[in-house]
Order: sequence, then C-alpha cells, then structure tokens
Amino acid sequence: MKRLLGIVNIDGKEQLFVSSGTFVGFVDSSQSKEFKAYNWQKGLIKAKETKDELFNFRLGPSAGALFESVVFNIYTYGERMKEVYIDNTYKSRFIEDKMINKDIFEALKLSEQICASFSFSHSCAFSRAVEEAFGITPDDNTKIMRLILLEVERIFNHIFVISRLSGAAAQKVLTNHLIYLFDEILSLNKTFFGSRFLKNINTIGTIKGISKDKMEEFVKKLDDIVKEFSKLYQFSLKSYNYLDRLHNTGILTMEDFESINFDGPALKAIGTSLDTRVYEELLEGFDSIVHEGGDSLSRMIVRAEEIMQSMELIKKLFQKLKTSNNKTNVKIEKDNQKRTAIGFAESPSGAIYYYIELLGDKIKYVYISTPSMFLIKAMEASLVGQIFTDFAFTIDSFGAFFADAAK
Amino acid sequence: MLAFVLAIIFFLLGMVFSFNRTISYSFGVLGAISAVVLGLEGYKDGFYYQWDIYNNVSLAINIDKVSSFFIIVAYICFALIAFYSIDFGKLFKKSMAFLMNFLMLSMLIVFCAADFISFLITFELVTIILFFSILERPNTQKEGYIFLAFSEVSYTLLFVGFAVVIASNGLFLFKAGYNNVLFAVFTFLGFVVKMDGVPTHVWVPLVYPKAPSNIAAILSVPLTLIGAYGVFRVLVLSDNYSYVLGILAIIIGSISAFWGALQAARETHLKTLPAYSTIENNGMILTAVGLSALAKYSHLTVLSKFSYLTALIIIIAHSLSKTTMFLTIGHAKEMLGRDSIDDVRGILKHISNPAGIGLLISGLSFSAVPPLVGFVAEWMLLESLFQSYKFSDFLLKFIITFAGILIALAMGLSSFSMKKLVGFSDLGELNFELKRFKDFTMKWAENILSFLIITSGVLSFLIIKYLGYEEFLDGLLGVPKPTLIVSSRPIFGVISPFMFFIVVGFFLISLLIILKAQNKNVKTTIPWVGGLPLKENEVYNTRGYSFIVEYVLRGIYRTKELRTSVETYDISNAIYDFLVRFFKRLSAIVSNIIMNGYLHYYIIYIIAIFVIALIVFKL
Amino acid sequence: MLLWPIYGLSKRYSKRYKFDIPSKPRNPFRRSLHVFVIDAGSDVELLLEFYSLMSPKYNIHRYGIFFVNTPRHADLLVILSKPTEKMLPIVKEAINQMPEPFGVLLIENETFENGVDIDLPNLVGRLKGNLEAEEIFKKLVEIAKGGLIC
Repeated sequence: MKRLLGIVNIDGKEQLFVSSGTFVGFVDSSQSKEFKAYNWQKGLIKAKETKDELFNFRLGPSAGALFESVVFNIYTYGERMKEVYIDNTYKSRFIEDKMINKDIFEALKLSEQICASFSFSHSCAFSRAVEEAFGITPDDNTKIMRLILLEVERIFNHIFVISRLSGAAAQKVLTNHLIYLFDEILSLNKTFFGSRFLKNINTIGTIKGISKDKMEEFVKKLDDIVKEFSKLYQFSLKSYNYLDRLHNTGILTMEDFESINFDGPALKAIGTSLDTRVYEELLEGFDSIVHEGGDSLSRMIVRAEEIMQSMELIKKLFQKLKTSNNKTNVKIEKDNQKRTAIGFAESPSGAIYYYIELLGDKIKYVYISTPSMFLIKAMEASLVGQIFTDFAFTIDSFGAFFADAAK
Repeated sequence: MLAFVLAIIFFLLGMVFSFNRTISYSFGVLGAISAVVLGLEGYKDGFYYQWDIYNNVSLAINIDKVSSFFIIVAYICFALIAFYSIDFGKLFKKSMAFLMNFLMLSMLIVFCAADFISFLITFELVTIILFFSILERPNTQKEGYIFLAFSEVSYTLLFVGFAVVIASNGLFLFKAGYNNVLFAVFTFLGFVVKMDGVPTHVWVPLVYPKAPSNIAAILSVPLTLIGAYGVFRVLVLSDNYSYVLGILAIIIGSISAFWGALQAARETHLKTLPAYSTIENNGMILTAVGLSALAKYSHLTVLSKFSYLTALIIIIAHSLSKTTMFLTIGHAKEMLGRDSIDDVRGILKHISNPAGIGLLISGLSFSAVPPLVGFVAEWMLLESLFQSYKFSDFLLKFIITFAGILIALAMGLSSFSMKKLVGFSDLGELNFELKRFKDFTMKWAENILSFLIITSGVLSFLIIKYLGYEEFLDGLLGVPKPTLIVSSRPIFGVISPFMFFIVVGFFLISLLIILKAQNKNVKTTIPWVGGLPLKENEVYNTRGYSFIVEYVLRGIYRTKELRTSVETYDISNAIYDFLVRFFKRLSAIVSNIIMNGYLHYYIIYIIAIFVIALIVFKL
Repeated sequence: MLLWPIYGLSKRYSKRYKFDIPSKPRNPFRRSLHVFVIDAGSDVELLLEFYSLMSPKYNIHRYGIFFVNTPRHADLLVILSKPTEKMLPIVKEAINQMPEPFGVLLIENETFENGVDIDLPNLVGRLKGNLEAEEIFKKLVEIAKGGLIC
C-alpha cells in the first residue's frame, strides 16, 4: 500500500515523495496518476462557488475552549454538515524556510518547535536523517533510549487525546482523572529528563542519558500510571452512554485512505497498519494493534490498547539497556559537500518523514511530511453528512494537531 | 342610499378613466371610502330594496348588520389597497386599474345582494376579473387556470344549492332557502371552498406568489371574506341543521388552521408563507362560527354571542394584518426583484421604514403579541374553545376540545413562521441592488395600516361597543369600566389591551427617558465570530431555521435531503396529482376508442346522428 | 486547661480592637478571574500546559479562575506566543472586544524570531522562557488575588 507523502522540487524537477512498504523515496511525477492524493496535495481541488441553500457556518480562528487557531468552514442547511473546508494558514510559522542556512544543531531545535506534543518524534526523525547523511551510527544505548522515549511520548499523547474525547462526551470524572494522569506523566518527564515535553534531550548521534537506577525508578512510576489508566479504561467501556456517542461517528473507509493517504491510529481503526515500527530490529515480534469499524470508537480503542502495548515495549527495551554509557564520537565535517537523506520516526498519530539536503553542515532544503497534514483532510471527509452534535467527537478522535500541519 | 349610489358612480368613473392610472385609482379610493360610509350607515339602520321583474323573478338589495360589517372591513382594506396602487400600479399595465375598479363594484353588489341572480352574476364577475388580474404578469396562465378551476368548483356548488331552492319554491330570494337541507349543505360546502378549507386549499400557495402583490392582497382578504359572509348567511338561514353544520364547520376549520400553520413552518418563499397563514386564519374564523352555531343549538346564548363576536374580531384582525403584510412584501419584492425571504434582507434600514415597521407589526399581530388586534382575536378564540365544558353533549365536548388542541398548535406554529418571515426580511444588510421608484402613497398606505392595527387592538373595547356587544365589557380595580373585555357572564377570563398599552407604554417611555439621561460611554463593536467579521455567505438563512421542524416531522413533509438543498412538499397535492393523472389516462383511453382513425367508424357516427336527428325532430 | 467558655471569653476580651487595618487598593477581580486564551500561532506546548491546568491537582476553580470561550466575558486575555502575521488582526479584535477593566498577559516560548511585535494595552505581565503549568498557575493566582497593576 503506497502513500504519497509530498510533492518536492528537486533540481527544478517535480518529484513525488512516496513510501510503500520498505521503500521510501522519490518517483517521477509522471506516475502521478497512480496516486489519487496528488490532486489535493498539489492544491488542485478548489472549493465550489455557488451553494444553493447552504450557508457557511464558520467556526472562526479563535473559538475558545483551549482550541488551536484554525478556521472550519462548514457548509450546512441546518443540522447537517454538507461540506467542510479547514483553513490552516493562521498558524503557519514557515519553519521549513527558517531552517535553511542554519547549522544542524539549530535546525534540530527548530524541528522540536513544530509541535510540542510530537517534539521528540520530530527531533528523532531529523537526527536520524542527519546521521544517515553523515554515515554516523549511534550506539545501542542511544537507539534504545530513543525508542523508549518515543513510547513515553506515545503514552502521554494517547492519554491526552482520550481525555479530550471524553471531555467532548461530557464524562467529567473520567476527563479530570485523565488530565491528572497526563499532568503526572509530564511531571515525571520533568523530574527525570529535565523537560516536560522531552525537548532538548535528543541530539545528533547521541542522547542525554540517565543512570540505569533512575531509569528503573522512572519505568516503575510510569507503570503505575499506566495501570491506573487501564483500570479507568476498563471502567469507561461499561458506560453505554459514552460508547453510544462514539459509535458510528466519523466513519472512514478504505476509499478515503486511497484518496487521502493518512496513517496512524486512524488507519489502524480501518483494519490495516502501516506502522514503521515493524522494521525496527530492537522491537522484534512487534505486532500492530488493528481494529475494524473505522469510527471514533475504534480509534479510541486502538489508542487505549496501544498505551498498554507501549508500556510492555518500554519494559522489554529497558531490560536491554546497558549500564555503561559509552558515547559515540559525533563527527560533523564542515566541508562543502552535498548530501541528501531521508529519516523517519513513528509519532503517536502516524509516521513523520524528513527529507533534507545538506551543504556541508548547513541545511539547504528541508521537506517535512507530518501525519497531521493527512489527518486534516481525513477530518474534512469524515465530517460530511454528520450532524453538528457529533462535531466534537469526530475532531478530537483523530488526535491531529494543527500546528503540526501548518509547520 | 346616497353613499351606495356615490360608490357606484365613483367606481364607474374609475373604470372609464382607466387610461390615467392615478385618476383611476383615486376614484377607486373615493368609491371605497363611500362604501365604508355606506357600511357605517347601514350598521345602524339598514335598508332593503326589492325590484320585481317577472313572475317570481325579483332582484333585491339588503344591507343589514352582517353585510354592512363585511362591507366596512372589506372596503377599508380596498381603500388602502387602491391608495397603495396609485404608485404601485405604475409598474403594471393600465388594464389593472380598470379591473380593480370593476372588481370593487362587483364585490359591493356581492355583499349587498339578497337574491340568487345578482349574487351569482357578480360572484362570477369577481372570479373572471381576478383571473385576468392574475394574468397581469407574463407566464402565469397555468396559475390563472388553477384559480379559475377552484372558483368554478365553489360556483358550481352554489349554483346547485340555489337551483334546489328555485326548483322547490320558485322564489329567487335568499330567504326562500330557509331550512332547506340540500340548500344548506351545498351552499355551505361552496362557501367553505371559497374560504380555502383543507383540502381545497392547494391553489393558494401556487397562485399567490405569481400574482402581483396588491392582487394577492385582494385574493387573500376580500375574496375569502365572501366565503365567510356566505357561511354567516347560511348558518342564519338553517336553524334546524345547525348541529351538523356546526360540527362540520368546527372540524374543517380546526384542521385547516392546523394544516395551514404546519405548512407555513416549512416555507422559505416570500409570498407562500402569508398564503398558508391565510388558510390558517380562515380556519380560525370557521371554527368560531361553528362554535357559535353549536352553542346556539345547545341554548348557551352567552357563549354563542361571544363566539360570534370572536369571529367578527378575527375577521378584522386578519383583514388588516394580511393586507399590511402583502403590501409591504410587494414593496420589498418590487424594489429588489427577488422573491425568497433570504434575498430581501434589510427592509427596515435600507428599503423604507414604513414597509419594515408595517411588516413587523403585522407579523406581531399574527403571533398574538399584546396589545395588537391579533392578540385580542386569538385570545377570544381560545377562551371560547376553553368554555367547552359548558356543553352537556359528550360528542360536542370531545370535538370542541380537539379543535382547541389543534388551534393552539396552529398558533404556536404560526408564531414560528412569522418570526421567520419578519426576522429574516426586516433585519440585516442588503444583498442585492435596489431599484428605487416613487413610493409616496405606498409608504402612507402602510403607515395608515400599521396605525389601524395598533389602534384597533388598543381600542378594541370601542369596536366591541360599536358592534353592540356591551355585555362583554366590564371593569376591575384599576381598570376603568368599559376597557376590560370579559369572555363570559359570570366572568370566566379577562383581558384589557388598553390598560396594557398604557401601563407598558408608561414604563417603556420612562425607561427610555432614564436611559437617555444617563449618557453612558458606550463602545460598539462588530459581533465576535472567532475574530473575523462576518461575510455575506456566513449569515444564518431561513432553510437552517426551518430545518429542525422539517427533520422532526419528516413523515408529514416528506423531507428529502439533497446535496445542497432540502425538498419538502404539501401532501394534499397528492390527491390532485392522482386526479389529474386519472383523468388524463381516462381521456386518452376514451379518445383512443372513439377517434380511432378508421374511416368506417366515422361514417357510422354520421349515419347515427342523422337517424337520431330524424327521430327527435319527427317527434 | 481552663473550661472552654472561660478560655474563649478570656481570649476574646483580652484582644485589642483598636487596629487600623491599612486599606489596600481593591482588587477588581477579587471574586473570580475569567480567562480567555488565544493561540496566536504557537506550537501547542503552552496550550497543553493550559489544558493540564484543569487537572484536579491544581484545582483552579478554588481560586475563582475560569476559562471562557469569548473575550466578551473575559477579564484577562492570555496571548500564547507572539502573533503571526495572519493572527494579528484577530488579536487586536479580541482586545477591542474586552470589557473594561481588563488585563493582557503575553506568554512567549523559546522561539526563533517568531511573530510580530505589537503594542499591547493594559499589559499585566510578560512571561518568557520554557514555561510550565506550575509557573503559569502561580502567575494566574497572583493576578486573581490582586496583582494587577493597571
């Protein structure tokens, strides 16, 4: 199953950035007919002008309720949403442009500022790309720590999304409890790693590590939190009211995948998985969690079960940690040689791909393919035909961050 | 008598001078004013004039209390419509001036006639004149024929009823139809069809949008007043059958009221909504009249008088408010050239103040907001229906209670529709370009009508006193003697719109003075919609307002959600679609059998006719 | 230990009632502080910090701090990060719609020359740096208890 990750201009020619199975790379744009997602990536789909009896219910840039600044243009004739267009340009900070001509350490800091909740995945993907460009192999400890912290990020992200979803469904006790757990994990991160959102830990070729005893304490405390979450989750599945609101809301099908090419838990809820963690040797025997249904309930179930799976992975990876910290020598040559590379990481809402072109140790061109870009299009497709009451459940179930998509 | 002659002369002059629209319509106004004077005179002491032509054939004119009341109400509205048309008629052909004067003349005779021949002639004249007036706009032949068809149905029923009387008595006067059962049934049904009772109401939403607005006002108010007048006369003449006729009237009336309000709730077209509101109000008139007949049958004289008075007040309320509504809608529609409620936004600020205020006040009157006359009318109707406990017959109690439920639901739904009509068209900003034309008389007609609606509500006790029903006026502590309207003796329920007006007016004025004197520092900003100002296509529209009702009652409306719009329709049309298809098929089959193209069949027809003619003329 | 009525009464009558409590300026938001948060182009770190403020651990409702969804109901406008080009008119409109008296709190994250510098009226505080929920919480409580200097 192939995905079109983006349309890139290399040496004046248009190329398609594609991932398909183990292959991640570029194909010629003459193959654009095979990808239905080419049209919207190129911006060829325009909003239709004359609307009969529809009026635009604009949920404006600043809508309150601790929501990001996006414009939802919802065309409706009353209770039902007929067409949705999301305008994401209010949060554009043009970080890709800012990275040009900066050296790789500054660019790493910039990549962490695209979206705070995916900051570790972004920095992971970027550093992997740079390491591949310069041929640096980080040592095993670094790799294991990176995978552990990716799973930690996955855990607190999924708890955040489920708490937002239950807040929309007006399950106040569950929401508050989940926010409490979310805050606990962030405090744990701060105590053990010095940053609530795991910023400034990762760097090119190595990672700021902590001693194994402290790591054991961290894993134990995290395990307690996940156990508490698991109890809450089992309890919430008994609430018929809660499940009824999520069932059959925001349904996506395989045809939507063909035309949009999203991935992550939204795709796992339809029955297939393009999780890149299956290609990691350190995670041997990794099986993605999939679910049938394609609605908000399936997405929530996938996320909840992934939390438990992530905890198991963390415990397994922790066993492999070695006590000694031998740091790799990070050699960055400041010559004027051109290098290109692609790096990726599995963020909680899908895979992040970085394509970088380096001139010496300065960035010449960057293209970032974030999962939220696709999830926003999936939101537009899944909202059509729903009534306004189901708006909040659909939006919150995807776990897409608009800052991530606007870059 | 003088006023009668003057009115006829003015109308004839108006017809003669129809090459100059201003003069013609002015004569129409003068004629209508003389007719009002005639009605006022005739209410106090009527006159009767009979002219014997032949053996039993005689023509008669009878102006008594009933006909003078209808003449007053109808001709006040006619006068204002004619005044409005002095400027409005300039947008249409000169023949409309001729037709309108002719119409007013014929209707005067309809209301005065006391014999069958003059009634039928002028009734048919009214129909034909209105048919030609509807054709003033291009491409309206189909709607004109639909109107003609239904009017002819009512004419045929009346004709049959009258023919029954002539066949049995040989007399041509109305009073000959006394206590004749077939006459009662046929004429009652004929007049109910004229009053747009369900299910013969389907022509109303088709014809009103296509007719010019002053003709639509005439179709809505005076034409249905003919039906009401006829029902009044028939019920007086058929004392023995008032049980059956009363029950029929209540059932048809309450179902029409409910159905009209239900269909008005889903409409988004500018003239179709008031059309359904006409059906609703006529249903209310019919209910009140039926209740009066039933109360008289059960010897409840006070209730009978009260519900009769209710019918009169509803007639006043409906006539004034509906005329205002159609005239203001016509004003807005001709200036903007659009005919959907969403497209005529901004009447109050941008088109003209009198039109906006007129539409607002008529909408409020239909929604029963005190102290307007619509409030008094609807209160009185509900009060008379509440007194159903006084009836001893169980069947009557049952029927009247159900009628009360339907009427109450109708009032709620009509308030919903009026909010839609007035709210979306009066407020907001203009979406289309204005075509300004001279509208001096139009503004003054609308102003006079708004003033009339308010004063007839506030001074409704004076109207009741003038109509001769002083027993229903009383006083309370703080409410001077005749300003309180009571609904029964001993007292059942009371209102006083006069005191409401004074007290609330006092509070509002003092509030205004206090607020003005405060001189606060006020900042005005645009509404907060996420930070950006509202664009044109982001404003709530009427389809969004009605969609919730259309969805909840999707069985009744047969709601279909299409890609960018919602379709609903009135299922009473299904009867007529079925009849149309049936007759088309029947005529196709019969014509295929008879005119089948074989030569020898045609020769057989010729020989057969020859033979038959020989036999007949031999005999 | 004395009998408790005698103990209480003795304490009561031995108090000095002649204190003059120095009058502090009245805090206009002494009962509650309604906060409107506008995300003017940040990454979601500050938004998530605000979200985690709703955790029962901080219990902000105890101090009378509520989040509202429109600036017309708000006392304090919190702007997260310097506004981007497109968000600038919206921030200005939000300030325009706030009823008097109000305050504005600008919170910036560690970013690289992001956003446009604007002239903010009634600036109550300007926080910079890698902020966490604890510090935001402390600042909000300080404002709610009368730390407004405008």
